[in-house]
Amino acid sequence: MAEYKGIKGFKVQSLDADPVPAVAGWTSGGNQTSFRTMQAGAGTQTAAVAFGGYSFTTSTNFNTTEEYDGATWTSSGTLGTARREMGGAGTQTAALGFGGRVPPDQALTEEYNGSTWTSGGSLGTARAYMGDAGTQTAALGFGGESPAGVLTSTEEYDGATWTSSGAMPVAKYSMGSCGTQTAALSGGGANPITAITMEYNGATWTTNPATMNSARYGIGAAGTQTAALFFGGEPQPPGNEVESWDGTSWSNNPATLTSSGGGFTYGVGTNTLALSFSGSQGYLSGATEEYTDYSPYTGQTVENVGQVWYNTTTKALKYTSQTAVGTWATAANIPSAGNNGMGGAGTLTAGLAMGGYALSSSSEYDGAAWTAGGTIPGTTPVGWSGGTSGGTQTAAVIAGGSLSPSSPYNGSGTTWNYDGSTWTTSGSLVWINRGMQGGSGTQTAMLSGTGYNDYAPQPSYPTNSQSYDGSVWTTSASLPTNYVRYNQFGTYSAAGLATGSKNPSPGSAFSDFNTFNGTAWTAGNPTVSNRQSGNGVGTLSAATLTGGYSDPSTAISTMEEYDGTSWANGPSNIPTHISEGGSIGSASVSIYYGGQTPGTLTVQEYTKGYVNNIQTVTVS
Amino acid sequence: MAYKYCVATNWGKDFFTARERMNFHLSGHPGNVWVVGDNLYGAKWIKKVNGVSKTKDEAQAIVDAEVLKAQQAYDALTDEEKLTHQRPTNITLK
Repeated sequence: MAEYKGIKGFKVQSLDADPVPAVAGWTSGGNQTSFRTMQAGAGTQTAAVAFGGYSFTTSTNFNTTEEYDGATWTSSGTLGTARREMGGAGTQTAALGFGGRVPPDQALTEEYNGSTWTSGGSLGTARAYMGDAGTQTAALGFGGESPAGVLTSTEEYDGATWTSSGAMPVAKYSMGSCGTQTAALSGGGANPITAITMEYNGATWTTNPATMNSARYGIGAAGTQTAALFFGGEPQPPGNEVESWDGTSWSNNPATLTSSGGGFTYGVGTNTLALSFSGSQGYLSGATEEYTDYSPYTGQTVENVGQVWYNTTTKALKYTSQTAVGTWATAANIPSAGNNGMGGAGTLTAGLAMGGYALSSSSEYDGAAWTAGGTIPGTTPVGWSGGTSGGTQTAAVIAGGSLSPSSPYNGSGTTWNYDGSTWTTSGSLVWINRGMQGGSGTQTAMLSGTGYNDYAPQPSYPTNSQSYDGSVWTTSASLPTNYVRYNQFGTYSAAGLATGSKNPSPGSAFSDFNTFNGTAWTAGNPTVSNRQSGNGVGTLSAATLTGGYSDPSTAISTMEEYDGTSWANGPSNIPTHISEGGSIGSASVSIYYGGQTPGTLTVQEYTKGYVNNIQTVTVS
Repeated sequence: MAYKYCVATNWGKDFFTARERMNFHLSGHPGNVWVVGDNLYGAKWIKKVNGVSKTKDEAQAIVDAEVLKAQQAYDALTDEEKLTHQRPTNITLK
């Protein structure tokens, strides 16, 4: 039997688990119901408990306990003594809270069983702001503040009694800490603010020469002595830094906290599945954040498209494939009615829509909201529609089009330049055009394809295109025939002109596709559908066509994609059919508006993405 | 890098996600002010959270007002209370 290596040229990995998505970062968790900082906690990312705390604004301590299930915090039994800056250890159903400040600083310990707190053995030294680690029956408390000052002392708890252990090399409080009673880690702390790393082996502390990258205190921590995540802390701002510890060195983690950091951040969980809460940045909102890291150092393999592996657990040969997904959403309404023949310019986050049947307005889009742009002068009340448009939000150009959509049409040779606030007229088109044409390029390098002309003695069906340098139009290369109601996209020197109707055969849709290289038009591979009055966006290497008609009465809602060589149907259709509308964007993200008379304010937004699929090889 | 600014109330779970944060800058500030990377993904996030767009000056003013309140609260603390944490510092938005 042939080996896979012999067929494909590489060996197949053997993995005991399927690869996982590459995600490392913070997701907002449920908000705490009681807003406070200086809390302690225990447990995991999806089964945590937080207790105690303090409000800066009311100067009050809390006896509050809240449990987290990975999405929602709910109240539980209260502490016997309201206080802040306790040590915490254990799990959601077997937690330990010890020490803390009322003031004065406390020695008392409380044990939590998942619903209620009962008293445990007292610390030998009353303290707050201490380091903590371990479980309810094997806990560790070290350092911290006491009335006598900052401490070096360490105490171990066995479920009933605290006993002294080896002292820390340096007295610290408000350090980040994690681990177990026999393998604990301490990083940072005050006072003075430091980046020191100290490790405990169950008996003695040693200073690790590897210091944190930033000195701070009040840090949240999760993980073990050899694999930890430290986050938040003061000084701030920003107080959102995250550092990863691999047992040897600290590295800045690019996945910073968003809103739950700052001083007195508390952390539970592991270095790959951590929970941040209590930070002074977020205490007024109760903000929490969850860290998830599936990166390779967890021992798992990250998904990559095309990878092949043998799952030794399920005993299956598998591979990762990728599927394109097109997602449609409704964007913010366009301010003006969105009629037929609107133009578009710019990008999704700095776009410009203009004109439309009976509309002289323009509207600017920032990716989330529309604001009114300048009015196209001389077009009221008939509006400007169906002409050439392009450029950017602050340097757009429109030309030609119809100044009266009612029959008979009155074509226009007028060009308008836009500077981000005002439209001003510029040089006239060489071939006066009543519309049904498109454009591509910038305000100073614009290409307009053909269009329908009703200005004798100029021919009704010119085949030449026209180019614009910002002030003057000149005749450019000819197309094979006269196209109207086509889709033009790209740039001046790399343009695509797709489908449309062509004359003399008005009313019928075609699948012609032509490209322009700055000098000449060349016939390309045809589109999938015969289509006119659709919407085209993108470049000559990645473009889409959407909507339109296959003939004057048959609507097309399909989207087809161009990959630089050929056209194929895209992953999804536009939800609400549109024709003769405006469009802005690229092959991967775009918006569609107008195309209706009377107009609609609705804007449809397209986003293309990909999902990885794990496939199992089957033998038939 | 350019930024957008908005005000939005953090509803909690999945208000933002790790995947979203891989695509754009996001930082939260007092007054529910969010500094958002100016790209399509950031814009989509603002829409998702019903963010109310602000200019940078407007956003900064909201943050300044919140920080001032926090500073005034800190200044009213006893000396012992002040030892527990820093006086809130001014925040300059990106």
